[in-house]
Amino acid sequence: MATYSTNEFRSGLKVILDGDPCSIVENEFVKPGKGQAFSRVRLKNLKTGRSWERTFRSGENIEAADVMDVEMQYLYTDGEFWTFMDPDTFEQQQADASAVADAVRWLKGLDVCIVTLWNGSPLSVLPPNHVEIDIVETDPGLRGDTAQGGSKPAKLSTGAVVKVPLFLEIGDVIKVDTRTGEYLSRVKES
Amino acid sequence: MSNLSPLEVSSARMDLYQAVRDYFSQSGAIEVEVPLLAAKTTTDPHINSFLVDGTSGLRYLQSSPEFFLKRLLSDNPQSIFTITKAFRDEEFGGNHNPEFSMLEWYRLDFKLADIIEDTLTLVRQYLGDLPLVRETYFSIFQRYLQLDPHQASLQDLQELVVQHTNYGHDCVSVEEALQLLLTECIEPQFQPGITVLSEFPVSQAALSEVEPDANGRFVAKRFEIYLGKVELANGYQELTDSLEQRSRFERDNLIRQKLGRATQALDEALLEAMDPSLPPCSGVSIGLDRLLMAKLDLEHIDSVLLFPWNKA
Repeated sequence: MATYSTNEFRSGLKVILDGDPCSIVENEFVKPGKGQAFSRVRLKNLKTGRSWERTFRSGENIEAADVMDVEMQYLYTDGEFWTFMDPDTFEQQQADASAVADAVRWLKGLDVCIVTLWNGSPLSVLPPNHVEIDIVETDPGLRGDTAQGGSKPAKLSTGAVVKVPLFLEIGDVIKVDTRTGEYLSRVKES
Repeated sequence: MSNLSPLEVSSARMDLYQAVRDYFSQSGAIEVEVPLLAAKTTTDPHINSFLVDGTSGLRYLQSSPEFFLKRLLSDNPQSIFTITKAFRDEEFGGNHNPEFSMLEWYRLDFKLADIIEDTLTLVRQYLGDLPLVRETYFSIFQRYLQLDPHQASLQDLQELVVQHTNYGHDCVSVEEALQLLLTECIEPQFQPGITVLSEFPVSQAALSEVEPDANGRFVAKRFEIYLGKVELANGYQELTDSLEQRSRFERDNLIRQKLGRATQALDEALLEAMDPSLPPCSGVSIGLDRLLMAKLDLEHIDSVLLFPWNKA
């Protein structure tokens, strides 16, 4: 079993804590004068996304987590699993709903996502920062109103709802920032 | 002031060392120089020394100049100080670099209260008249945790650890629990300015004398000075009895064994120099890098080191 000592803790290191894979966010060495030293560590639980704070004995060993990030193409879903493929090896992985989580509303066929694998299975999915998706539902557009402010909700073919300018129409393809959920630009008119 | 040039840092360090030397030359202490490579090292269970494997023999990089200074003091009763590098393996962080600069001094016939005033005078001459709070180990544990640290059982402490910290273990000793609670619950509450913390539990006496406090309870004649939340200085009214010193070293080694650390051969030259006893004195050491950080208002020790650990 591979382990890391607290002395090796640095941001991004993957360890197992209470059975869950975690990524170390911050490690602070603290020592009360002449006494025992401790490591005050902030971790992100990679399963739940929650932030943890934990204090360790300095020098203590923690189990390493076999976690890696792989670029994979999203293929399709059967409603229960989302299938991704490694574009180099053509190896496929099935991610369940808890792994896909919030990314689900941005998943468009053939887009390249970052799939985090734990012991070889998908743990989480990160969509591309920018995606291009078509509008499937929105109020009728106001032609010629391209310069004015104002926005309206638009539902995209992947299920996400974003605020878009008033002139956009069903069938338009728009570019969205998945980190903020914000509309960036129109890519193509319907 | 976050990015000072190497020359600005060096110039500030030069001013600091000058101020230190002026202070001691005016108050009658002599600067001495002691080795960095020594045949013996500390038994302190929580300090790991670097071992240097030279063709000339095995030596330790000194974790503190203390043993040499006490050997000197024994044969040459005179107040002394040294500015030196000290080395502690595995200690890195915002306030720690494994190689660091230390000022350590000893005053003959000083009691704990005298050496505290001496230290405060030096620090306030250099940093200015910072607000000052005086606490005892008892008073801070009372204030922040409503606990008597000298009486509490491991079980009492463990309850507080579970309640107030994110510690992933049960504490195995009262000392571990007290140190954890101090680090996690008390130090973070320290206000800007100077906090003097004194009268430590007997179990943390290290190399200090043990005497009854105002309530007749035995406490260690040891103090620490904090600047804000950062420990700056640690000092003792020095234990002078060589037999008691030997038994504390031996106890350290038992703790080292329990922690799975290598035991350390006792520094017999020190014990012999102390036999039958060291002249009555008090001593203190100050982390010079941290003092410089405070002067320059810098948060990370790397900012005052020209070549911090990962660049050295």
